[in-house]
Amino acid sequence: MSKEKIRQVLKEQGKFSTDIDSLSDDADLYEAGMTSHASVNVMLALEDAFDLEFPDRMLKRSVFESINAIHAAIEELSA
Amino acid sequence: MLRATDFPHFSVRRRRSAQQHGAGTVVVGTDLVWIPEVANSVSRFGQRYLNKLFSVAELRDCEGIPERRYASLAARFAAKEAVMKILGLHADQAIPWRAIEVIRPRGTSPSIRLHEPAIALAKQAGIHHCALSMSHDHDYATATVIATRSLKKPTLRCSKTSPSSPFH
Repeated sequence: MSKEKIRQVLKEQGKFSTDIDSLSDDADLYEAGMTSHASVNVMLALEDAFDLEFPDRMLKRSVFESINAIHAAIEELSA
Repeated sequence: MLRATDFPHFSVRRRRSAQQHGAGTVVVGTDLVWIPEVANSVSRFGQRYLNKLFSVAELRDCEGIPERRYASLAARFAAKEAVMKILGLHADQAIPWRAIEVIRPRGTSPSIRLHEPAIALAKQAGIHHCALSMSHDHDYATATVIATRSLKKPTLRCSKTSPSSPFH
């Protein structure tokens, strides 16, 4: 469920040139066209969608590089 | 073809730089931002977006001319990304955007001020002086940062009393 929610946020904020549904959960989102500025929007929209806040220690490329990575970060913050 | 030795003053300057910082290289970072995307983000996320990316001083510097506000914000974001490229971050190195600040004291050109953890990362990368240039035209803003990187022990200037450090 939460991965679907992540995909929805990515659809709205990721500015991908390809269809997000065609990407696997471990596909590199930056390789798929997500810009650094778009990743800011993705992060803020995820905070809204999951009612959490990404701390400074998580502001790194590896946290937002795939749906699986985002999911793992959200799981950690929600625990 | 002209060589550096054809310009005596250049040669002297180059030797001094090598004495101060050790033999090194010049590194360049650049970034381009679509200004309407910044305007959309401000509209969508408001102050939360601004506070995540920019310092109070940066936001104040961008308030001057309303029509240029988004262009100024976009150029500053590009500058932060350009510095990140120079630092050569690994995917697992965290750095908040506010750790890289564009400062513009009255009457001077804009420059970069680093805060932790960017100071530590710059030391680790052997980055010394850096120069910043920002520009915008119509829908796009860009920033270019040029820095020197030492190949031996880094000596980035740091204040012992302040958590921040001028990056120039």
